[in-house]
Amino acid sequence: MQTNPTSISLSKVSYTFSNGSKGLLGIDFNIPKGGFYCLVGRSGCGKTTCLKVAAGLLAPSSGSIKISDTPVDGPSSDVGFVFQTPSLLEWLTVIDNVLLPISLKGSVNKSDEKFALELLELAGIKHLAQRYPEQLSGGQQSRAALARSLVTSPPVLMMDEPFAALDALTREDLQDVLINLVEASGTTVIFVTHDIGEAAYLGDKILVMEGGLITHEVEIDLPRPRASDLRYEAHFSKLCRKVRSAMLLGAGQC
Amino acid sequence: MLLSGVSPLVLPAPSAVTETLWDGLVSGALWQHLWVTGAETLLGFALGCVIGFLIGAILAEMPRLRRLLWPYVLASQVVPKLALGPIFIIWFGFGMTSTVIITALICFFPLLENTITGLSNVPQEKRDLFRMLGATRLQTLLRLKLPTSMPVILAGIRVAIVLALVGAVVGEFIAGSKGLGASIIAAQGMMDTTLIFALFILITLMGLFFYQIIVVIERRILQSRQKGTF
Repeated sequence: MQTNPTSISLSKVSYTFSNGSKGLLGIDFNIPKGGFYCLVGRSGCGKTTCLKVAAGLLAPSSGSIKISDTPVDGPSSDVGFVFQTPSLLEWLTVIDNVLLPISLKGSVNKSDEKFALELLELAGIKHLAQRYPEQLSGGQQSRAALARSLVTSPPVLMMDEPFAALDALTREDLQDVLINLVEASGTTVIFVTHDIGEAAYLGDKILVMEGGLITHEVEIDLPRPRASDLRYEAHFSKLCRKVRSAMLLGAGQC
Repeated sequence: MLLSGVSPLVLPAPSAVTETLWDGLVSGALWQHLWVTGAETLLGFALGCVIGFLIGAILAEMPRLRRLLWPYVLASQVVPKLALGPIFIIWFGFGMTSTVIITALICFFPLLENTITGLSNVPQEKRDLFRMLGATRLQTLLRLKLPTSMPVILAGIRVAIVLALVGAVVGEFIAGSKGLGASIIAAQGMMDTTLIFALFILITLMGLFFYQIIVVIERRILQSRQKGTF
């Protein structure tokens, strides 16, 4: 059986904050190309720090990070990043926000605009392309931020609790939008969440974090494509219980 | 009624003040002073705002330089500007130049402070977004920090225009031979309280006019920022 080449690799990665407190204590994991890995854990366990270090936004104290076999020493154009808040520029329309990554690199051409509109259509907000962020709901803003992160077709997407502030139904809709978008493009994803159900629904593997360490890894053997009804199946509940137990065990170990 | 016994020398009747103001405007005697004070206000305001904004932007972008220079900047601002008047008179002589420099010094600090505050308080996630998108420092400044901080910078401009008129008038007290401030000093010498009150009214109207102009410009800028044409 042929395995996909590694897309993201973290080896013995540690991070110490400027006040001396330890954020990460030697993180190791490899994500194959096209893999969807979720980082879960309690607040303050190091999920966001781990994501920012992997993205090159924070420099690790030790260890090495590689994306597509290239060492990471700063933010890379190979990585799309979705933050906890949509972070749209309020003086730009939705389409201009989506095209921002391209306009910062040079001029935007017709094919860029066409692709941006396609992404907005997949995200379900093409009809809002000329609106301003303040005219959108929270869910619509998150859809726009997701489209923006994919407009340059990055091989890797990193997401930091992007749907945490949304209501349950909007969150489920956006999870399906995300799955459709990344499966179509074969993007590798690291997704940070504190929602066990969200992690189990989206991920191929869940990495459980506690105290700056990955304490457990849980394989999600649910078939793809995934649909909403999956959430009510016995096996899904079993996997969620397994992740929950791993989180409790992780907390006990630290 | 209570004031009926007060001498017009101390508190002139409103009708007398209005008449003096009207006569001054109709005869043209007040217009040249109005023009001089207006010009000094706008020149000092423009000079102070441009320098305050540019230095504010540099200090916001270079935190180490800001830490190094801030005590000196602060010290320069707590010195009463009018105390510097005699030095400016020696350096630049009586007249418009000295008044414009005093006005500019007064306008400098609100712009400096608000520019630094605005540019330094852009949400971290948006700054990280621009880093992830590989934006240059100049792109981050022009396409993120400046539009984000525009309301704070414009608030500084609103404060500065009010201070500019105060600076110009008070500057004329010590360094001016023309202008509304110099006219107040001249009227004081002649014990012409009626003219002093007429000049107060003129200065107040001028201040309100300048403030409203700035408010209209601010509204236009924020609207074009909202439309993405900024």
